[in-house]
Amino acid sequence: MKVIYSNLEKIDFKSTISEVELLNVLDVQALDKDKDKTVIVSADNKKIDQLPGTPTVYIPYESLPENYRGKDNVHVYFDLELYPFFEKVKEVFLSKNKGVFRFRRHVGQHQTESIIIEDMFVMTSLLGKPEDVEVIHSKKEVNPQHTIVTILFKQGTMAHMEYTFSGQERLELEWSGMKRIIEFDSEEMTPITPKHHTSLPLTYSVDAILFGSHQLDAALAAQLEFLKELINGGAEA
Amino acid sequence: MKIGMMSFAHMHAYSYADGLMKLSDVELVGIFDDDKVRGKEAAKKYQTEHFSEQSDFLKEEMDAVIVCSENIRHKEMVLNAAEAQKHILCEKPIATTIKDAKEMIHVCDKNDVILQIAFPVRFSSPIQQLKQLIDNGELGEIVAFRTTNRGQNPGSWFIDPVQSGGGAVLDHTVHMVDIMRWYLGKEITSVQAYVDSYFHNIDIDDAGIMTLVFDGGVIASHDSSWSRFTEYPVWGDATIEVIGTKQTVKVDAFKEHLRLFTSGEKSLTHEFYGNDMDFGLIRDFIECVKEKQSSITGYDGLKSLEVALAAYQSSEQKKTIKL
Repeated sequence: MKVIYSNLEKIDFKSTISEVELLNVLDVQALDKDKDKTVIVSADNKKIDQLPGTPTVYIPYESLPENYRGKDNVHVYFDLELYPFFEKVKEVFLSKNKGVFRFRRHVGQHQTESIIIEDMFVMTSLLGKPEDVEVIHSKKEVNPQHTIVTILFKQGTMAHMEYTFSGQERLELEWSGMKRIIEFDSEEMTPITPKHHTSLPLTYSVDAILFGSHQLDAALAAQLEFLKELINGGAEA
Repeated sequence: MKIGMMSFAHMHAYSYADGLMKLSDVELVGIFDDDKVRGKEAAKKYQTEHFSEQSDFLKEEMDAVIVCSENIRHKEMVLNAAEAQKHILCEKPIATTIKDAKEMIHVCDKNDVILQIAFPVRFSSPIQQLKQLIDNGELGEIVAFRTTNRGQNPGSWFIDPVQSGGGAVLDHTVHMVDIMRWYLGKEITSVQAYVDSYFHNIDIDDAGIMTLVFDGGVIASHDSSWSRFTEYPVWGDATIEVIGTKQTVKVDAFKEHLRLFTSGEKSLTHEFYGNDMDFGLIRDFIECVKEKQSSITGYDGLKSLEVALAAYQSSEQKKTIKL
């Protein structure tokens, strides 16, 4: 059995090929009847310890509870990595070139720094290992919170990753390289206006989760811990 | 009012001269340029006299001069013009060193002439509208800024460190630092930056990103570069996003455009139709000369220069520079 925990607003069921059942509530007794099933349920509904057998669990990194760590059957995923636009960025990006990378997220007020850690993980897969990371936060007593991460990657790219912790998600990305510029803004690239009719383009399929998740093994845990330490070194202005 | 121009080395000289031509109460009385070919051509274009000797030019009767030389010569020309009792509009950056900038300010003060620094972005309509929103309290308290100023490689003396004093970081940082200082009314206290040369195989920086902290704790990012190639739809940008406690507002001074598609090598061009900020700068300077009061002072030029130079220092020394 595969159990996918997710922010359901981000799931594009229309583009999903895999057979998956959407559950409003994770009913442990009902799951026991069909062991080949893939089910998806809101990430708020975590009941891993109560699940029969040893299901493979897929969970957003930002929702990962402490008691899930160290279990062989847990896979984590990073939503940036699953967005179709980011897949396309990886396709058209020429990593051998140096350049300037600018990344910007508006996220919910209650989201934590784990969003920065997972984005950095995804960025390192694109831009290589960081050589220097500087983090600065706006004043804690003033809302919204804003964080600027400045990174020099070993392969030569310099990057800004910026986060404003308020309101609805928005994502902007710019790459300036030699004779190659990539630009993305989720507000501009929304295919339906008015925008409140759709979550596009910040959605992904269930298949993207199944094929784009990472097993939470010791190596991954260590890498994420390393990035967490880098981020936690930031100062308040 | 009689205005003279000193050097057409900087391309802005042409748009500033165009601005002078539009003003009915202003006369362009002469152009000094020791590049005789360039100076004569400019004088012919603007139907005025060319001077190849600075001393002869400064003997002419005129109220003010506009300096558009190579960066390294700003000091020489500003000092000479000030001693000749001419009010001055000097192209940015004010100078290539803090020492030179301070000397220029001192000599202008001593001679009781105004020293105005050319920061045309202050005269962009959307940039001014955002200033108004901030001043009216509609953004609340400012939390952070995000700014960019990315354009094409200007080539020529701009990429010669001896004449320019620095590449894209010096050329572009000063604009948006000036806007942030203007919006916030506070100074930058620390600069952390990476500066490098990525885009043109040139021996001068063409890319830099920096993180800034203002007195009082506002934080900011800035991206300066000559990363835009000729096939890109537009010369570049000058953007600022202000994150406030009430709302976040973003402005691009070059956003107002038509999309023009053609079948040539450059299939898409953004045809800008926004206000002419260079003309706004010139019109404001003429008013400043009439009132003998700068609106953008030598000190404003100095503070922006400090940040740009600190960015180089931060990158070289791999540490945050405190100002």
